[in-house]
Amino acid sequence: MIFLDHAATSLLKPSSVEYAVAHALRTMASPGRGGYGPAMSAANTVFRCREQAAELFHVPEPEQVVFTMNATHALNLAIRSLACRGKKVVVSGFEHNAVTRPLHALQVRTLVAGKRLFDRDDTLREFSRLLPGSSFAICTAVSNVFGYILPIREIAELCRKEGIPLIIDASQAAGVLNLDFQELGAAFMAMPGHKGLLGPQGTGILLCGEDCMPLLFGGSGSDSRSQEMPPFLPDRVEAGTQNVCGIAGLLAGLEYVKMRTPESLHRYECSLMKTACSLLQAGRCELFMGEEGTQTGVLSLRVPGMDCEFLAQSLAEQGICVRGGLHCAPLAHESAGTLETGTLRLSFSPFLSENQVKAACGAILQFL
Amino acid sequence: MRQVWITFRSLTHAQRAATSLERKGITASLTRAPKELSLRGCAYAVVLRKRFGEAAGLIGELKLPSAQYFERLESGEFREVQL
Repeated sequence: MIFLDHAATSLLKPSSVEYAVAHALRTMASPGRGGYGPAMSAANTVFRCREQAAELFHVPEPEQVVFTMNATHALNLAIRSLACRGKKVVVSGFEHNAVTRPLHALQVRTLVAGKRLFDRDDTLREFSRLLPGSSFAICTAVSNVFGYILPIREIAELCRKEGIPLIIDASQAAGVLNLDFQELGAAFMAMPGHKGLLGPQGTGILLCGEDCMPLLFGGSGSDSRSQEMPPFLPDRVEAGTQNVCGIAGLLAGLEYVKMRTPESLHRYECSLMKTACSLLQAGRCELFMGEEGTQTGVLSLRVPGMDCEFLAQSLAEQGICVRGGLHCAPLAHESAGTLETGTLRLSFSPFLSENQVKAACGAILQFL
Repeated sequence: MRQVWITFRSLTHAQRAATSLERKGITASLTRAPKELSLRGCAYAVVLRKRFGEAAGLIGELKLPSAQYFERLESGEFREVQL
């Protein structure tokens, strides 16, 4: 099997993640629900994971790190927290349904800033034009379809100057780009634990720079006599038993990312992408490539006259795992002009070899 | 031996306090707070056996909300104290 769908989930993981999950499953109970060994061991693991995340993303205090089920859950928390203050939002042209669907459900008026793929100047110009008078802004740091690295630092600066709270969707950036939450000054930053951070599915993180409203209500292991959720983070938005096994795995993933460093992981994934580009350019593929420094290890392509889902399925039958279609991001496809055809997406993992990439490209070229 | 219990409403706050103290070489054990110190229901305590003033200063710097200080008497009862 050759796994080229790292942008969906990190199937290939460090062995330490597998060990941590199995160890937690055998030895850990629920944090904050008892003072006995297995509960305190779970509490210690969860706290260490908060600390590691806070350190990696430069968050002042570990209690600003909230654990969620996934990035979608984290984004819903953030969007609901800000949408109650105003109903006009600016988003980039490359947002995922995890952003656009909650906005639609909450009937927030959405202005789309910057639809030109790999054009950072256009993205910035459009944010600058649309931000004044809006209630908040949301921007993905990297497009999940095209790997386009948006100018998030500059957008964050614009938001700070306008006094507009910003939500950053770091789903494709966490673990491969350096993101300094304190320097960015964002209201919230959401990310999955199971992509670039190499943790298990069912884990996500919301970094909170502002007060966060609960989505779920229930036990928190604190202030139990009150029927209100506790007023402090993280308890306020972490109702119910936590995914301790997942968080233990996420802790191991974070430690691995810190050891390898996001820069080196990004470099390696980009080198694999370049190998793929050079091989596929020889065929009649239409590749969506940005200039140096504007793309992560995510590559979308189209083969003229061939249905991307059919191609993805044909590759799956050969044990090559890629993703075809709209990637839950119709807005990004609309911006790039690929809404009707979709694309075939290859996304590269730090655990993939160059030979595997060459073999996968060879299989794609056989269809041309 | 004198014991000081510092209570917190949040487990995470208590963990941050205990970790910070340990990193400064101050032995601090984390435990569930007794019912009589958990008036809001479910709280956590960091237990100290020495260096109380130093610990209180450090916890003050952390600006953790809701920290309360209690001395455990020989009778087993608790008395709120200012450090």
